[in-house]
Amino acid sequence: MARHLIGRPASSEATGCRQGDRQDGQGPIFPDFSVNTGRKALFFLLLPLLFLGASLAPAQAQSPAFKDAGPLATDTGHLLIEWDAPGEVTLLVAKSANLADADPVYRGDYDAYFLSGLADGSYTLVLEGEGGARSEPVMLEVAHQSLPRALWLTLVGLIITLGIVIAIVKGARDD
Amino acid sequence: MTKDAILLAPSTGYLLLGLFSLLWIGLGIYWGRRNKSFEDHALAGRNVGLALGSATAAATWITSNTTMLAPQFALQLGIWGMLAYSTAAFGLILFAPMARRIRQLMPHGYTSGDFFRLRYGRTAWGIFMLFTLFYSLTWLVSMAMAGGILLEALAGIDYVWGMTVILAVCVIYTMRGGLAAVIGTDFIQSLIILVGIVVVGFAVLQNVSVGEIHANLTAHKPQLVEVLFPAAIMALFNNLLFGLGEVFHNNVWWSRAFAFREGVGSKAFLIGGLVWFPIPVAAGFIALASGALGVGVPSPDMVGPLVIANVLGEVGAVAIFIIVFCSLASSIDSLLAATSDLITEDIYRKLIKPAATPERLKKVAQIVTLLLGLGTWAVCVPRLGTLATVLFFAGPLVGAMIWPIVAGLYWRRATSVGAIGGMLLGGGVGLVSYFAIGWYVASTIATAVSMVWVLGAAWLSNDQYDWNLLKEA
Repeated sequence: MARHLIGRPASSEATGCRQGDRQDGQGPIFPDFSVNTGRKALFFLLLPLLFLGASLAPAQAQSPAFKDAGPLATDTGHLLIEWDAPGEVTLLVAKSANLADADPVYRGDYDAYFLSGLADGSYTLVLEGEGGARSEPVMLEVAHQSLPRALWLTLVGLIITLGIVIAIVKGARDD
Repeated sequence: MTKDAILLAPSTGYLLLGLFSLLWIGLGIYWGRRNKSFEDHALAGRNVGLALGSATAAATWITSNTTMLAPQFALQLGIWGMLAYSTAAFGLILFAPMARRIRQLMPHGYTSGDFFRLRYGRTAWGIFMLFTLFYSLTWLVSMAMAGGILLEALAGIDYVWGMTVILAVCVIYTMRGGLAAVIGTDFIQSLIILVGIVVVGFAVLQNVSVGEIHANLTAHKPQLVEVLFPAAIMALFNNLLFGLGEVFHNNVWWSRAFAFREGVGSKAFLIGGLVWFPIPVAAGFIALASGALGVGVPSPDMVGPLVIANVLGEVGAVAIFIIVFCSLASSIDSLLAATSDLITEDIYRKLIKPAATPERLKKVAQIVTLLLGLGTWAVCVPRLGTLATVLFFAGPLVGAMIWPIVAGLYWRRATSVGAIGGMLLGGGVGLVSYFAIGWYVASTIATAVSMVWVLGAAWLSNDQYDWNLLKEA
């Protein structure tokens, strides 16, 4: 993807040149002993910086990425979302696939966010990096547990609890 | 930044750790100076009054889980989750009348193991010991691990150092002072925790109103304010029954029932339960405010400290550090004391050396405390994350012990077959439901199965248990 290459030197295949050639077709870049010593010294001083810049530049512009590419699912409406990102990110959660209703639920430099309280439905999650670079979207499906089963189990819990309370309060009256 | 947020300078953390370590060890040695026999060491001479009794009941029940997991419950399960955690208070409240009954039936008793052995026989006692040691040891390991992890997260103190210091401090003052030291330090720890939680709650309310919190939840986390939230309403009674099972069976609570002065137990547990009830609500409220306060939560168990540090800055970070240290110490010391008493009384005295002198038993209890500390340390050093989650398996096991204990304390017709079947069937089916459905139903299902079996066995039985047999202990 194009934004992954921002700041990187163009490849030789892309430019059609061999290494060591001037791109203007004027012969090899080095060794060229016809240039004066001062310029040559400056060139060799700047060369490591060029390499350093080339190696750092891609990291600064790297897109954030979710650790789990999904699709994700939960039956409780909560889950931990983790990602890799070089700096600050914004986590967007949207119900529509085109992110028209995106809700920025987190902005900061942590590498995880605990998402909770989601109602039933399909959600799209996207990370936005500092430079505006976006991650690949991740789909999240929320389908809560069966409500009738939950109500039945709650009723069972209530009956057991009442039984325990009665047994203790009534105590050992028959003794 | 990672999920492990550091809120306090390590130098401040080490200073607080050192100061409180010296305080607890000093007080432990001071309070333990009069202990001569095993009864003095294990049961504080059976003479603990109402103020100390109420404080130790509340403080022991305020674990690091209360200050860390209660906010997590609220963040995961909303208003219901917050209330579900609070229902654990009913464990103490319902144990109040049971404490009176225990003291009346077993005036010379030492442990909950004594009750199972005398009431239901060796087989039931063996199953009980298996279940309760599993629960106690995993609780102990999870507390020590939580201590190391939290001190590292709060102040950047190395995990092994933090865990080692907390464990060593608790082992030293429990060994030296026994239950008297545990109860005495619990009193101070409970005061610090209560004041801290109240101050933090008001500080949060100064920064954001209840209306703003509700509006934020409705807009961004609607399920947290939903009345019919399935997992949350299932968690309500599940957590209540987990709490009942924990308190009803564990020697942490039985040893206090034996240690409290005549007539104090029922009042102390009732007051302790009522004092404890609002704490998870306050802690949970802090978590629900996280969204309105704009606090991002990278890990659910860190929501409480993150919000407090956000609202109160460095003062808040110091406060949460002290609250966490106090809640960890108040639980670890109780577990060390109660588990060492259980092993000394139920295994050493009853199975190995029935003729051991009181002085010898006290020495054995101290050695067992030291060994428990060393064993816990060895298990905690590798920092295996999965160990802490093992504690949740205990939910169905403790739920399955509720009915054998209640029926055994109050009904002459309760039988060994009922107790053994109730524990095994309830525990087994509960564990299956833990994996098949989720943790939020495991205790409910385990208690239901155990209840049906125990009630059926008692109904079919013609036994008339002689209560005097319990006085032998």
